[in-house]
Amino acid sequence: MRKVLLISLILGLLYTPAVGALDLSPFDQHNGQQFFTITDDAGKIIAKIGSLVSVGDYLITEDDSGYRISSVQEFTVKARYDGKVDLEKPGWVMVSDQETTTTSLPTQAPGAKPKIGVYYTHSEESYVPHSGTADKKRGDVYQVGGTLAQSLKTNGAEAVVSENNHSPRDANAYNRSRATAMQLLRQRPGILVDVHRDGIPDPNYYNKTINGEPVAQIRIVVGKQNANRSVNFDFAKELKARANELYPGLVKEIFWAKGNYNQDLAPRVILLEFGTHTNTLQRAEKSAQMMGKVLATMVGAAAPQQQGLGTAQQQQNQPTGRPGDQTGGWSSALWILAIAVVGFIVYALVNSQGVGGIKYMLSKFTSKELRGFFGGTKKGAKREIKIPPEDDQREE
Amino acid sequence: MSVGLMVLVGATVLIFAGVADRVFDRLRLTDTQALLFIVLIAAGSFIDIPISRTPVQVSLNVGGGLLPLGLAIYLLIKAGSSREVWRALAATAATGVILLGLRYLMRNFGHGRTDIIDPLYVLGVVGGLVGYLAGRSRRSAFIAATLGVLVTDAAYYFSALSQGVRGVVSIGGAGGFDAIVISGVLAVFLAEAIGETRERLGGGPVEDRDFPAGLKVSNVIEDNDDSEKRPE
Repeated sequence: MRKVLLISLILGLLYTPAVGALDLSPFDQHNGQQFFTITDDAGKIIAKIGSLVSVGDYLITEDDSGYRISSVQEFTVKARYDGKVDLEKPGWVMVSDQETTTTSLPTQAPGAKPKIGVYYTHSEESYVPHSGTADKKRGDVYQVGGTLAQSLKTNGAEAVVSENNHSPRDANAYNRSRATAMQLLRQRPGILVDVHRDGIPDPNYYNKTINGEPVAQIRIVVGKQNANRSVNFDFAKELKARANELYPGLVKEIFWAKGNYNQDLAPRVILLEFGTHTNTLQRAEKSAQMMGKVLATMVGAAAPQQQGLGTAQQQQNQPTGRPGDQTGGWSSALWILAIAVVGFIVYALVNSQGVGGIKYMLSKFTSKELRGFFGGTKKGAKREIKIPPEDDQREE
Repeated sequence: MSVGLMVLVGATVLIFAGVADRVFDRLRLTDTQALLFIVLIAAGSFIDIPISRTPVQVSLNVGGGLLPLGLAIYLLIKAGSSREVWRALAATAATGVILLGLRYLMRNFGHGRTDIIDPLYVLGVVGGLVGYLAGRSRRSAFIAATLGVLVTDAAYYFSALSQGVRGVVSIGGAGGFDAIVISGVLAVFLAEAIGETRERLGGGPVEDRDFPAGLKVSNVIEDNDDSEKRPE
């Protein structure tokens, strides 16, 4: 039985990179031609997405309806309705249709201006009506991010922007932008935003009018292949809730999908897609301007109309604490610890001779494992230990 | 930051540091040296050494790049035999070729195209597998994975140069969480798992009066000698 398990482990490890290498499906994300159409149980189209969609992904639509992806056939996706998501509560807490949730907006934090970081992993992404192409060396996303940064400043926050170019737009782009994300995180921003755009051909999917102004709606993407996924998912819901209050309809969707997106580096690292490549740049910039205000209020920056408030009034207006951060953090930490314990047990079983070996190892923990720190040999005792040859020489 | 988030960040850092400590322990470093190495990686993560600015910006992070790459080169220099050196270099070359091949195959993959694992971990998995298969040792796996990532960085540099893209090559730029460190740690762990698995399948370790069953000597006390024979 143990041999079967060990062989299965090896085959599983060999399978993972092989799948990524040998799967030569022609799907080219964000090329504007291929995209996924998501329908509900009744066959009604609820979403169109240029990114890869997989079974198990989760989608929160504009009206806060939650859908779990149940099947994917080529580019046709079916999703099961899950109910209305309560954006104010952590995790997947649903509300009944009769309930409404209200939130109090954080207004201002005393002291230095709160920071929000901005960078561009897919540096080439552009808008066809403006540039005539969906991708170019320095994409239109830089202008969208610039507008976002300007809006953050206008609304009392400090924007820290990296102009690093991570072209081309391939699977290694996130590895290249990882260093950029880390550089920005060292400046301790409250939120880090990776600016993107989607790749579906229909501009009307994202077109909307908010407060009389034409905008391109925004999708929030949360990666589930990292330890911060719970915290980031709760943060995405909070962001949507805030946007719903200030600019109803600004956030089109939250998509919880496969991927890391460098969101493992810290909590509140998010990916925002400002419309699609067939929207106009002006619409994307308008939504960036609105999102800047939403983000600024989330970190407690002062809105212009509140800058005339007295000190006492300003001190009363603190960013409201959010239970989601606590819950998401604890649950993620517990998951990590659980995985670490399981990993340790598997590792110990492989390295020792079964449970007895683990007990022996644990009983000798301080004398053997920490021998380098605490000595561990009796005074005066001399024992020569022959060192075995290196692993590869052992094979000969 | 809330208590929950602090616990999350703390747990992540501690576990990663613990895993890395175990890995470095297997790579010719004593317990103290391994711990010191991790501390240096963390401290060095804040230091970027600029190498060039235009047309492609290149920098080398001390913690995420210089230190692990330096360790890999040190292991190469201190290898017990020239055969071990050549095997490690062959493993590095093989890893680099496979990673470049994967990069070409995944050239159109954008958001979330990861099938099972994220590209960040693919580097370590490939490095570990190839490094172990080619070099059949944990050290070869570490060397292959870390230098293999460097190969991909170099390839990107020349690619950006040829296409006129004002790109950025930040070697180890994400510090302790960069692909180089993650790949190296993952590679050694994989090599350990595969090596131990093979040994178990082959009947387990040979027992000797100096090597009680289940005992693994983790600290290298003296350099290996080719003339040393495995105890019968």
